[in-house]
Amino acid sequence: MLNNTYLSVTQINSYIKAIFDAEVMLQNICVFGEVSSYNVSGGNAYFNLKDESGMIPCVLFGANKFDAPKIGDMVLVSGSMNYYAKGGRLSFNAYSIMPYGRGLLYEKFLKLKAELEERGYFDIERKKPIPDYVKRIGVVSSDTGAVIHDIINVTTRRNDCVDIVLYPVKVQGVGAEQEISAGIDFFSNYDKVDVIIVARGGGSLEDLEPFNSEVVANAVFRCKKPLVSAVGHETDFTIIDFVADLRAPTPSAAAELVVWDKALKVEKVYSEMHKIDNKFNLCIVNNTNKVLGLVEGYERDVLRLLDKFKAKIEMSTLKLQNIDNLINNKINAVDRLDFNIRKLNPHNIAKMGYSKILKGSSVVLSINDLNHDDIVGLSLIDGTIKAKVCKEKK
Amino acid sequence: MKLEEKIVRMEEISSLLENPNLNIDEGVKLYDEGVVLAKDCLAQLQEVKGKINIIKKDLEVYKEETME
Repeated sequence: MLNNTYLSVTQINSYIKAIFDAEVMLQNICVFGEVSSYNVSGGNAYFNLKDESGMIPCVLFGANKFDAPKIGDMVLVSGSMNYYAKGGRLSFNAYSIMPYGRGLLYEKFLKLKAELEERGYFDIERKKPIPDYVKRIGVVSSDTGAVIHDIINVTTRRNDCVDIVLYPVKVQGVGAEQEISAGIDFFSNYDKVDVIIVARGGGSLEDLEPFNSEVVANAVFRCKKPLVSAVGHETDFTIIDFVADLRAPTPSAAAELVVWDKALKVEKVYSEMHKIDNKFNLCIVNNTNKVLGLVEGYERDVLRLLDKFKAKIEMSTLKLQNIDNLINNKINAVDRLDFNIRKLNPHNIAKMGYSKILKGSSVVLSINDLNHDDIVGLSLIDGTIKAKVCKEKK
Repeated sequence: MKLEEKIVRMEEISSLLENPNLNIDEGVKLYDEGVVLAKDCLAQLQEVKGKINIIKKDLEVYKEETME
């Protein structure tokens, strides 16, 4: 049933405030939790304290009296719950703040990191190499915001032939780690991508929490494709960075690392072709020189052979000349002999009026060999006659 | 043959051509192969522009669609 009493906003706010102010359990108490945001304004600090299941807004008056905690620090604050009637908000009004060990999230991070390291999730040997010539990249990230656009811009600038396939996921908040893990599993079994980039922009430790989860770490560990993590800023390290095959400091850097520079490849092809051209020309020169060398060798051999033949011919000519001279000498000797023979021919002597006198068979050379009445034979040109010696010796 | 394999083969051809005892027939054969590979590589590098797609799940079936 509707209560017919009408209350103004001020009245209801005053009532709520009175309830909280009267509740001693909420006055002068100490609360511990993790600092998840911290802003100072007008000398007061406004921040949230959180644990696994909830969060409470806090105001610290005179914040400059205390060391400002960092996001993720575990702190202990003293103060009272207060209902701020003017704004209709409940907050914890703190009058002191002090460190309370290390942040739970950070401790959880260190614990999981140690466990996974022990299980071999970070082993260098299991890291898959990033292919040199990636054709398609699977990106697990949010479909809104700057991250996917940064990746697209860098990719298309470096190589306009590379495809990008986005698997859209929540990158923070409830259910994010399951979505990220499902995206990784999807691409792990998807034949149409060569490499996976898991990316998100910078944020608080809580924002990056899904990337520090075991669920995501397991998905990366069982992933069959090379995976690059690009979570947060350069200084942020999350569990996924240790399990991934490669950690990129930012999403843009991930695209730089994965996408091969097309212009460089075109240049490389031209440079290799240029080398092939030069070396082929050298090969032609080498072979031409070899042929020329062979021709020169043959020429030299032929000339040497010709010289040899020439020398032989000259030698033979010389020998022939000698033989000729010998023959001429012989002919001359024969001529001389012939001349002498002719000169000594008895017929020629007979023609001059001389005749040979034979006494018997002996040639008569002296008158003393003849006696009166000796019969001698006289050899004349045309025959022999007998004659009788009739004249006395002188 | 993939682009990377073609480039590696071109590098091989380049070093094979350095052999001073290579005869001209082998040289011509390697040179011709290099020219064909270079043409193929450049053609491959001029392939159609890359696409930007998004995975959509429709009745438990995942499919790629052009990203708006």
